[in-house]
Amino acid sequence: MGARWRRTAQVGWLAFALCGATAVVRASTAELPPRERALSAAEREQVGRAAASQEPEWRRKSRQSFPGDRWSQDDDFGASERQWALDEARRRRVPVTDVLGAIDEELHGQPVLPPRKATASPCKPRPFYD
Amino acid sequence: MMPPPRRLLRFAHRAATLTSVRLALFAALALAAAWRPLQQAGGMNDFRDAHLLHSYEDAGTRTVTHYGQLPLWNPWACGGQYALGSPQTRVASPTLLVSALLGARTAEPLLLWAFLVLGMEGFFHYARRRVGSALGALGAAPLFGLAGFTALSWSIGWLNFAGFLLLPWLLWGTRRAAEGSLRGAAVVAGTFAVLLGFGGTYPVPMGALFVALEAGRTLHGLRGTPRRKAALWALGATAVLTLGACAFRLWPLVETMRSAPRIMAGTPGNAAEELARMLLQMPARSGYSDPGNFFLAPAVLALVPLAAWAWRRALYPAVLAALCVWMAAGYAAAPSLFGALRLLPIFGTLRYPERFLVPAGLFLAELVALGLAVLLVRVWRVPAARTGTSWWPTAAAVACVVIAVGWGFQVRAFDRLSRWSQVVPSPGPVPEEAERPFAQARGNRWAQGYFLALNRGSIACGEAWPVPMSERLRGDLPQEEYLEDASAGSARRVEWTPNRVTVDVTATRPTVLLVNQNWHPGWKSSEGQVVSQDGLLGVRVAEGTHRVVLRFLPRSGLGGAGVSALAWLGLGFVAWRLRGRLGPAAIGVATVPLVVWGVLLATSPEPLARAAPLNADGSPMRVASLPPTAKPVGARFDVPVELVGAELPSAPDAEGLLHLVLYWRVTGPVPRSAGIFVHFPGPPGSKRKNADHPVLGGTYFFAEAPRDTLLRDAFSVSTKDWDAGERKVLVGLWHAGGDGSRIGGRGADGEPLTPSHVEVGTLTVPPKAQSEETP
Repeated sequence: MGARWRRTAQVGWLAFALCGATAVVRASTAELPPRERALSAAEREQVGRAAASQEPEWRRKSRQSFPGDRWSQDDDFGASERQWALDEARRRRVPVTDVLGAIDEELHGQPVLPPRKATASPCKPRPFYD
Repeated sequence: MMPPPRRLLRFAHRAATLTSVRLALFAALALAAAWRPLQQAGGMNDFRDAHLLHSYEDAGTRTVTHYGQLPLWNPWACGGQYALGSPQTRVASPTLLVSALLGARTAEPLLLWAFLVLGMEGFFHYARRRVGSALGALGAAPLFGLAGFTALSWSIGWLNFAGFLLLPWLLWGTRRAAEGSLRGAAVVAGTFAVLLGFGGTYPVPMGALFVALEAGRTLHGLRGTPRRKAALWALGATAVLTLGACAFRLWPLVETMRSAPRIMAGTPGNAAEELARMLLQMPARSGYSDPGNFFLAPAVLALVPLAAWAWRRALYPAVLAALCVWMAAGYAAAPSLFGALRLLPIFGTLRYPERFLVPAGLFLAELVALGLAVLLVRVWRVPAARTGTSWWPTAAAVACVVIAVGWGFQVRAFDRLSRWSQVVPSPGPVPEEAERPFAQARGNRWAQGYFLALNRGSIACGEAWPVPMSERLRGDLPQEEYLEDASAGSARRVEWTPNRVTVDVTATRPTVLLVNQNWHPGWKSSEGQVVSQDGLLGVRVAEGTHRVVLRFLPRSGLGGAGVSALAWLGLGFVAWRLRGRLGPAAIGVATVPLVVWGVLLATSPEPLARAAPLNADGSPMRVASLPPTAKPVGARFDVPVELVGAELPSAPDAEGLLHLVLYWRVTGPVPRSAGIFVHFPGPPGSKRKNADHPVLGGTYFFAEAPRDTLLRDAFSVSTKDWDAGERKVLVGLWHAGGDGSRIGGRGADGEPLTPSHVEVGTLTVPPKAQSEETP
């Protein structure tokens, strides 16, 4: 390899390292929106109760959508709960984690009676989706 | 002195063969493509699949960094899951170190960038050998490396599909191994190991398929029996070495899939027009859209016809590209190549045929590389005197411009597809154990990423396979470790980590300590016997005071890691003592780890964490005899299947749901295509309703169902949109995954079932108002 090509190779390595460094710097300095305010204890209780009151209706709907399929019903319930949690977090300008945490606290706080559930059916994905 | 085109070519060729220059080019292109993902680093992808898959990586990273343990058990998912046995986790790959170093969310886009570079470089090596032109290979590498599917996968959290980018390394390694190169064998073994560790549910089986074809291609290309014989030895050694090198992941996966196999039915298909749009149409500006999901710049494909000049070299990639497209058409093509592939073990679990457009893109890119190479050779051969008048240099210059523009389009398409990712602010750091002790929550698989940030496990589980889970898991317990008989004493958590739980137990009589996590045979206890209490992790403890230390030490994970370590030591031995010769002696060396594997299997038996075969409603599938409430049917079909009986309600329940049960017995081999049809023809003028299902109880194809066992197939239908009136219930078998034809049979009286179905009863759907008024 001549001197010219050796220099070219060195420049190549430098450029490669520069690209890698740019990727690392770009990833480490990425700016994301700051966290919203947190739910207060009273609000957490309120949110937990609100979700609990919605649960029977979400479960009824999921029984209609997936008759006789326990896992799919619970999964469909989970989709409704998630959407509600996202909407509630947006409405209250709080992190979704707080809303889901409030639901969890409510479940741990008192006995959960049917048709509500503190359990989830074992995973049994549907055998076809097309 | 050489004429300018030749000089330029020589210069460009020299530059293309310089690793550093090439890598710099690929790194720059990858940087441009991954700019948006890098900008979003640290955020959480809010797409449902991303929640599940990323939480696995998050859990693995947390296990390593917070607890200093190997990511063997993931208590945060599905009530506790064997991390190495779950096919979609990435925790067994070296990339976990990057996650541990930078944080799982920051590491993701960097890994994407690295995979893009690796994909382009791998394609360069593969195509250069196949095409014989460094420049041709360089020009086409970004077409494969920046293919749309990687961007789509990134957007929806399937980073494990970036493993497809290692496909050229597998093919390159296979060829080199067949030529007797130990390095080639090491690349094949290493790449498969990384792919398995990285959760390559599609890249691994598809990679194995194309490696087998590449081996055949290489063997075919060799001249003379001695060479072919040597290549066969070398390929054999590579295969054995690869098996050993992958044991760390293969063993847990095989063990898990044996206990809870993934069932995939359906007949997915894509019309030719749809496939063309997926491959050739620029993705929508907003991001996700079916068109362009596998984008390959169409203008560049104009170079493909030029490959015909080197038709011998073009034949294989052209045939393979065509076969891949045929495969991608799924069941829309008749006959269906995808349907045939699904008959093979493992391949039967593949769901999306269109993913074969990824290897189709690889072989199309190879043809582009060949087309460009043909042009460049023509330029090289133009005599100096005719350089000014020949049109070949102009054509080559145009082709180079088209290629460069094609790279631009690839980058643009990549950027557009990556716009679809729904990145939201990270839910924040996971609280310390002392601050917020781990507990199971009911959870939500659609939002699993949030639960990890609460240090809560999600029992709700949305995996693609039936994870063995206990029905007794709860998301509302006051404490996660408790005695089954509360009156028998007390249990107090002393220490909690993912792979080790310490509990102080005081028992006034023998009892069972329960841990609110799934049982797995890998759990071992310092005291008492580990038991599965309805699938829940338990330890039998004697009367008295005990400190129970539960450790997760899975035979397959730890034993497999040992076998893999031996395989790599064996490779070192072949390099050192056998001077890299891949002959019979190398096979002998590579077999040693497999023998050790066999010894481990034979000497340390472990029970399987088998998922009980249940219907979708949770009722058991196997029954001893027909219950008295069932009506005997006794119809036998032209395949060895008997419809023994049926249980039908006379009308829907209060919610308008019909719950039906059919009892089946399989007595011999049945084609995989055989499925059940259940028709409910109604009053004249009303629409026929059905409850067809190709899989019994969502658990067994007839082909895989246990023989000579009475199987209870329970299913339900909603009559919400049914017309009122009496309906017959007609049941039969058909080739659901085949040509759609019905399977004939005979009734209990021995007479043929003339319309190929049996009437198992009737039911009445009440008028709408009445059914809606019913509470």
